[in-house]
Amino acid sequence: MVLKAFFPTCCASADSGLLVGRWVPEQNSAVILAVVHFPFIPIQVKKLLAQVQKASQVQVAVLGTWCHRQQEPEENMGHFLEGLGAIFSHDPWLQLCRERGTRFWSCKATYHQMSTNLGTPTEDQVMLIFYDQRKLLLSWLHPPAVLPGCQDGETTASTGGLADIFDTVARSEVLFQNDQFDEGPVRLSHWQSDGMEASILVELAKRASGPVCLLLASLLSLLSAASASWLWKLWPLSFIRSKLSTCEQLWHRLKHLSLIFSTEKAQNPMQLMRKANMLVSVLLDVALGLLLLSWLHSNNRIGQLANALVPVADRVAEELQHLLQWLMGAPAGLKMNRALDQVLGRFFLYHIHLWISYIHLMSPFIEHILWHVGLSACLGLTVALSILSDIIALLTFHIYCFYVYGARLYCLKIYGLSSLWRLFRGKKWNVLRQRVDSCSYDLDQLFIGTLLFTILIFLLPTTALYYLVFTLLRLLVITVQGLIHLLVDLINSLPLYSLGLRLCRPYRLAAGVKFRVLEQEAGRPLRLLMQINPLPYSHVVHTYRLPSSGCHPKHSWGSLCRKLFFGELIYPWRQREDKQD
Amino acid sequence: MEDEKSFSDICGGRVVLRRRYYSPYCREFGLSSARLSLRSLTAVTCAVWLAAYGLFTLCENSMILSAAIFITIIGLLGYLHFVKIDQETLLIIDSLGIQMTSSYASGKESTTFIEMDKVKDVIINEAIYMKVIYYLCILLKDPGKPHEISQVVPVFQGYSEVLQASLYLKPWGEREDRYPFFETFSNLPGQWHSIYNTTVLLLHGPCEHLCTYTDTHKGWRYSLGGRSILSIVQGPGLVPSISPKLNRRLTLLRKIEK
Repeated sequence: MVLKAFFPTCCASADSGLLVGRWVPEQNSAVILAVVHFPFIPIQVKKLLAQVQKASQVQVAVLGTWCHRQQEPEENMGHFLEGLGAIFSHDPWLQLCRERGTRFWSCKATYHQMSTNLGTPTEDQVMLIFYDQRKLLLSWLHPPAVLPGCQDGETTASTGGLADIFDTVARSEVLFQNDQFDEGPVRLSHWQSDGMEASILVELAKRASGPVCLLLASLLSLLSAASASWLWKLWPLSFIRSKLSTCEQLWHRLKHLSLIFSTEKAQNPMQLMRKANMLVSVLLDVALGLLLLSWLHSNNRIGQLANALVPVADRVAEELQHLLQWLMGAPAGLKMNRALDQVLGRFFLYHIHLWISYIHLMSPFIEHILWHVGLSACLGLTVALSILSDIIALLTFHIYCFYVYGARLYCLKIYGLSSLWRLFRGKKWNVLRQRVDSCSYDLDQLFIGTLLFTILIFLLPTTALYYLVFTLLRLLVITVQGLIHLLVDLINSLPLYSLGLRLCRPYRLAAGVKFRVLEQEAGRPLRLLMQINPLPYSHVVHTYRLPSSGCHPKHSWGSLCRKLFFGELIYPWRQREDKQD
Repeated sequence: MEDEKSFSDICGGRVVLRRRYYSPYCREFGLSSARLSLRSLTAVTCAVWLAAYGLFTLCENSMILSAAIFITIIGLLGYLHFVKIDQETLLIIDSLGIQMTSSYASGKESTTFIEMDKVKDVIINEAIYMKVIYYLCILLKDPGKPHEISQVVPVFQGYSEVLQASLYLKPWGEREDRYPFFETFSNLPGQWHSIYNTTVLLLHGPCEHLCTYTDTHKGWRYSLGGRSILSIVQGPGLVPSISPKLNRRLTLLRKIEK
């Protein structure tokens, strides 16, 4: 195999010295991490390497020499460097040299141990691969190589070659703390040689985050304890809480906030990204909510909304009354059973009348209620949207009631019909055996059964029509609510921080690497440039999606149609109590 | 060292295969096709705008014309950015891996790099479509289980339409040295000795039939040139018994269970 030397681009212009890095024998590759400059004392270099090895669990060693002839006038440096091979023995010993007058490098790798029978050291072909040390240090590879049984104290087994290299560079951060401009005994050159990177704001934020997190965590734990107390488990409150989506959303946000401000540090990059995503999501939510709040409270929009609300409710009720009058006549040319029609129609009309009176009763207070509810938008846009969804549910409560009445009636009719149909044919449902058995009926049973059957069947179109109309209305309301929930879900679960990172710092999220062959001359070693291949956006969203508390409809289309046909009630927004996070 | 060869595809267009030899252990193969032709672009634009103008004369709504312009521009940008592949390159670096790059007409480049540990073999697949067609693909293995094949990755995906037609025009039995395209792959260093040894039986979606004498248990489904293809990998030795029957265009076959 060809010997692969991974060389950091930042060291390409460094002065001559020793190459320090890690040798991976399984892949025959040498990962060079830094260059030690002259003058140095070999004992101190070895001491430093031992320290780094202990601190980072990476087997750093001196791999060879680096000679930058373009900068030095004297030629005897070459002999000096060759002599160093005797002091720091490493097999193979690399000698990289950047020569004067040409852009191409010369590389030599000599093996001393393996050539005992030959007597002379054997050489090997070298392939140079340049990599950007800073980017490799900061990025993390997806999917992360799962090393079985790897803990902090153990040395890592070699996994796929690239994951290994990423790992090596990331874990050698200890080596990068000393620089060639420092006053220490050993002068190193690596990516920090261009200047140590730090930012005052980041450092201040890090110092301040400790006490702030403690304070907020304690406040949030108080809140969570209050909301989890036994008071909420009592019957009316728990029922209301399970039905309102606002409570669910608030609870969800509370959980997020307590996770963000928890005092334990993130164990791995995944958790860190999750925290960051949650924080950005909450901030965006609150920002949009405040925007909505400012829009609502300007120009007296609340007043306009409140004034428009009652006429709208009136209008809806009027339309419903027209609809019922239409149904009580001859809707779409169908002939209804006059008596049943009148009964059902009058029943529903009375309900609408009650509802209208209720709305009129509430109308003086609506503006105040809306004003206070609008204030809740400062908790976030998602909370405002959930409240909107709940208001729609409350305002269309009469439609829900009508749907339930119609569905129950229809359901009863269908079951009655199916059972009497069996009687008509002389069969019976056997509950014990869960199947249909033949049965001999008495004459009077048959007579009454057939009579009832015909009555029910002739009343079927009327009931079916009412059921159909109210089911369609209910489905319409459910669709509107569903769209609102979808929007809330989107805001909750979109990983904005990860997307922003992918946009601005694509090297942080790496899907792999890509190589580019650099200009080459015959007889010279091959030079490649290794760059980071960023993760595609779809993978970013898929990997870092936040778990949403959304109540997704659990029925498939087939079961939904079946339920509609048999008149069973559909509950699309069941709150999931056992949702795992 | 660099050389170029031209082939022609179904439509008579020109496809250029470019080989570059950087070093004994590093080679690059690039396939580039003709650019977007002005004729087809003009034809499509005119068709869309004529349709829009026809709608406009019916509806008298000028939004239709602006919408047609938008659609044309966005459609063209989308086509250039997501669909039209200008060039596909295969870079093989011994002991490091195989890299496949597709560069689109808008300049976007999408790269995949497969490490050498994961590559089991590079083989020639054959597909029974209306005729017998062949293409190159890479078999991947899981490093933990070196004897099983984990995935099949076709090479030069954007060109499968092209390659299927012109480069593999020989009937099955005479394939050994008559495929100029494969000859370029035949003298790769080191590990590619098995290029002609293993072949794969490949069947196309709607006519999912199977030769009765194969008893493979596993197939891989992937898409090639826009078609969904189910492929079964066999070891060497089965090939001679398949070929005479394949040549006679089998139609009586059994359905595959995946």
